[in-house]
Amino acid sequence: MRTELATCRPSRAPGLAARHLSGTHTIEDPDGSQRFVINETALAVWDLCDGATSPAEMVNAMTSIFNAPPQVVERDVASVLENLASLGLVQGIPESD
Amino acid sequence: MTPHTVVLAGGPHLFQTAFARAMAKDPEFEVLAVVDEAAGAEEACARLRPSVAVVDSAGGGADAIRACTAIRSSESRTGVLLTSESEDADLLVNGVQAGIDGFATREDTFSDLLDAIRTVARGEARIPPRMLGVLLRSLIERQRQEEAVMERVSQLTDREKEVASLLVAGMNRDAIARELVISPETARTHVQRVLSKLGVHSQVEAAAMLAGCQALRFNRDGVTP
Repeated sequence: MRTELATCRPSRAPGLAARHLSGTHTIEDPDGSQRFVINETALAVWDLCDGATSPAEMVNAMTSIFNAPPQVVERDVASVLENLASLGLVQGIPESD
Repeated sequence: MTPHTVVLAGGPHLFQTAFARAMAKDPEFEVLAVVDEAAGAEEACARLRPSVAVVDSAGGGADAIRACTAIRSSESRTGVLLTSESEDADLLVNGVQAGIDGFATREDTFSDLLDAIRTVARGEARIPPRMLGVLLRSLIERQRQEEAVMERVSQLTDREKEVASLLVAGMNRDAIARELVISPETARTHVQRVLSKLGVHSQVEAAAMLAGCQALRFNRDGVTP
């Protein structure tokens, strides 16, 4: 994971809330004009974007849970964060070169 | 097809019996042993080397966590599935830090429990998705606390690290003085400096802080990361 991503402190975009209905997780704005379906792992990563938690910390925690090599977990967390940023769901993710 | 071999350890007797019977009907599983208490899991797994140990926390999570730690520390390739009466976030966090491969509850259906055993037998992790968020937050918070403790420990001198290690071993100042062959007054000074640098007010607090930090190792020569 590139250093500037590992050490940033992403935060959830303001005004959005997670909802769960009939087995489906979504992130929505208050009037429902924006609605994104999201899986549980990505939702957990989004929820960790509290402005104080670094992606490196997220990777360390996930590596201790999942029986996957750290570099695989790093790649997956980076991919989730960059996708969330591209959708406007998180802020503070540095752009890649 | 080689069945997944299973040891069941701990849990209410009726639950164990019913679950063992459910597995006996399925050729995919073979129950090697049913052990009354979680504390007996380590011996059973060392003897029988099952694919999966299902360790239940009934009667006390501490015994279950000790058993999980012992099984994961052994050279066997037994996967560990920790079970509980209900979704217990603290137990789950302790279990993950002990190295468990999966977590399930007795509220789950037998079908889901068998699926959990299959997942663990494949070498994959099985954590209830709805507990992932709270688990991650707890692990991150524990990691931050450990880093704070390690930062304080790094400020101790070698002698103070020796004293800290003896505090964790439960020694009082007089015992520390005898162990290190120093005067009681010198031991008192060292202990006070250790407490001050650790930011605590008592030997009990110091011992609890250091013993709870999984990243530290203690021996007679001191405390090391």
